[in-house]
Amino acid sequence: MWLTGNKVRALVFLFCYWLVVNYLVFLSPITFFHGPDAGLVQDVELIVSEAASPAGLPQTYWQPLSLPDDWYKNQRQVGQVWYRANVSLGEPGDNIWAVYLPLVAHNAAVFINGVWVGQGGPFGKPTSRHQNNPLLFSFSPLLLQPGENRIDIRVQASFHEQGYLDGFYLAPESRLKDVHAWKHFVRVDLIRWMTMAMYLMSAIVFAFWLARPQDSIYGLFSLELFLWATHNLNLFVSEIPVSARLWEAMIMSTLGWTVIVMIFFNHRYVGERNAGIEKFILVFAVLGIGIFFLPDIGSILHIGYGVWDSFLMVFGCYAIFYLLRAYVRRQDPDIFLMLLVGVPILVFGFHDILIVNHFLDRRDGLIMHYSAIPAALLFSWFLIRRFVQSINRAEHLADTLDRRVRMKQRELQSQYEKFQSVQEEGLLLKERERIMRDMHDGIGGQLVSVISLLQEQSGDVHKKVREKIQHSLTDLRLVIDSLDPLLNDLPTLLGMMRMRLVDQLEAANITLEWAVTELPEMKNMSPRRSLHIMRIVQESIANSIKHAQSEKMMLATGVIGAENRQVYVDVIDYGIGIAGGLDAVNRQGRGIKNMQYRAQQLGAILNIDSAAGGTRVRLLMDVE
Amino acid sequence: MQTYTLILVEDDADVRDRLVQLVVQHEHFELLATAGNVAEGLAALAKHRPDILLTDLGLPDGSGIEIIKAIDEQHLDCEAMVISGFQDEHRVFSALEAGAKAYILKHDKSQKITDAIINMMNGGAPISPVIARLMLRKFQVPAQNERGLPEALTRRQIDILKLVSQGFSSQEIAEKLGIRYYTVTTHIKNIYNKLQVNSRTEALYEAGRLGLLP
Repeated sequence: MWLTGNKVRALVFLFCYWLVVNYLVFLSPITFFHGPDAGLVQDVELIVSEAASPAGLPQTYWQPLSLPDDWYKNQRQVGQVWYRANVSLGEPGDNIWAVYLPLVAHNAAVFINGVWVGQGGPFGKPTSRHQNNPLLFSFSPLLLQPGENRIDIRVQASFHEQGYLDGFYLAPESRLKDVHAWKHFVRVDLIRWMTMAMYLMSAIVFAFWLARPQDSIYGLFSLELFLWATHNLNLFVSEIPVSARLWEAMIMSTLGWTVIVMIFFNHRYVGERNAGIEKFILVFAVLGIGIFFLPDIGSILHIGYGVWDSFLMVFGCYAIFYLLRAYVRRQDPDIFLMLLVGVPILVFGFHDILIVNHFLDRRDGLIMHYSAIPAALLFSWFLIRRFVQSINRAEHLADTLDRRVRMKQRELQSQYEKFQSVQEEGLLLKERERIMRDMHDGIGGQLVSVISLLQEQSGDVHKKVREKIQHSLTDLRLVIDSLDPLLNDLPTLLGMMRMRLVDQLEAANITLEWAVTELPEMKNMSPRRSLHIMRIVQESIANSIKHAQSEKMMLATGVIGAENRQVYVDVIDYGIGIAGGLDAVNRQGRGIKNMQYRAQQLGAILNIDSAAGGTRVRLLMDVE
Repeated sequence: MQTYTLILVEDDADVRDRLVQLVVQHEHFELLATAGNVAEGLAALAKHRPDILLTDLGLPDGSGIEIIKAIDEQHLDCEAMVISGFQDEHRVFSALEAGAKAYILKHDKSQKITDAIINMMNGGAPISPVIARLMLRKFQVPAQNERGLPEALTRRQIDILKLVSQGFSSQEIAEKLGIRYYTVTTHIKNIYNKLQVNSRTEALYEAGRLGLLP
């Protein structure tokens, strides 16, 4: 973050990094492969001969030479050369001996004092390929003799410019094998495993891509790994299944296509595409197929190394500058990491191009494939991360969606319930209206008219009739009120009752103290329940008016019980109490029995406390 | 005290006669006309432009609410009062929305009826628990606010409506809240006005929604 957050700092770092990589590659102070400490043979004689064994070699016309022998530099126009060295030894002892060839192209067979001791692989067309593979041939000390010993080495190359033999070693095996094993490990085993891993990764990423074909970078990365791995085959496959010409064409083209696919990948991963460049390199890639149709290895190598690789260098530089530009714009740490792995690819690649074009000593060996390790790791990590992120994102989205769906479901449910209750309310209201109309036109209207007429009349009979009708009307109203959904609210219900009963109380000269409070919403309220509550309250008030002989009365509400889950409605008169106590209450007429029955129907408790100071009727209901 | 002119619309002859008696005998009222249906009521309203319209709601040819609405449409300076027969708060509430300012019950005692009319002219406004609850519901439903209704209730007005819905009288509310009785009735009257303004806006909104407006 410290580095990638600051543009200038990061660019300076990258430049220094580029310098260091160049220094390590071209002026390396580190030697990876030390030669064995004994038995180096450099002074040899050579003869051009198609012979298959030393027995077929002429005894004259041998030319002295100091190894290494680079056939391109020494302009050998042949496919096979024999080398001979005479080595003077002491007592060979009982230990196994060996000949170690650090570098030979392409194939070699070794003879000690005319006896064959080993070879890289089959000679012929195509010849076995060991240009990257150090060879070690062990043999019995019995083949050696004190004094002069003759070593003959047969070297064959697919193409005369590629032939090469470096100085070799003759020594007891124990002094050679570690050096050989190390070089073999770094040059062959490591690359073999790496290449297998790249194929495997390519297959996995390819499967990802099959699952998500719209994500083209998976397909590109899979192809990239496949091409680069195939290019690597040249480093460790010795027995090739096709002709050397086709093999060279394949190795040449796969390298180019690797670079091209890398550019396509970069464009898509970074997200800034350049259609013009893509078109151009695509044409170039298609032209690359032409390599397979070149008539011989010579033209493949000349055109491949000279033209094709030069373009690849340009493309490689483009890829780096493309990343640099994207980095300057965005300071994306991912792009910074891509530059870190991209720089070695470019520098190593340049190194290899110099080698194959004979500007550098071939003993350095090709190294570009090593730059694939950090690159493949980084991009694999990128893609796995991307895949995991997209899974996480998908999961998160699915979660959110799920939550939203559930929320909507709840909303719908509650809307539906509301709708139902509104519908029910609407039905009740309609029914109520119908009853109202009936009442208005029929009995209710008539009763109102009669009272209205009687209002102006005096006299006891009139008064009594009026009161009776008034009571009937009030009764009728309570029944109709019970149908009003608004009266599911208990305080409103009691408030309406107060309005309905005010005349009755006034007539009895009773002051009603009103102590109604706000109450929690009662569940399960219905017209039936409303009517039960109203009847109980009405009956209590009526009883008090009749029996209490009080001028004052109170109606009070409140909440009690655990978590205020119970609501009470008290009707308190300040009268004489019920004569004979509660037993008398129970023995009383239908009025109180009715109240008890209604309380039971409500699932409520009805308490009647009576004393000299008055009577309290308490209706206790659960909120739920 | 000044005298108020008045027209009466009631289809029940007995009730009408009683109310006519009541009004004619009262020193502060001058009855200009009576009517037995909506058409006559509308004609009388346009012709006499009274101070007070006293109307039943259930009339043979329609609803008294139509006559109440005409007051607003014709920009008359007239207070409408509903004669409610068999109590029906829901219908009375519709009348209040249309612009009625008060209501009486047919079978109320004479004194109570005349008091109610005078009270209305003095700025009073009767209200019942159910009407208070209907008011609260009308003003509190969020969907209504989304329509951008111009009037909302104040905290105090909501408190008053809640107490009314619990059955408290205006006098009791005044005592509970420590304000004057007239302050309570003024609040209620203001609520009535807000209700009418909102229902007018709502009617325009509905008309617009149905494409009835140009």
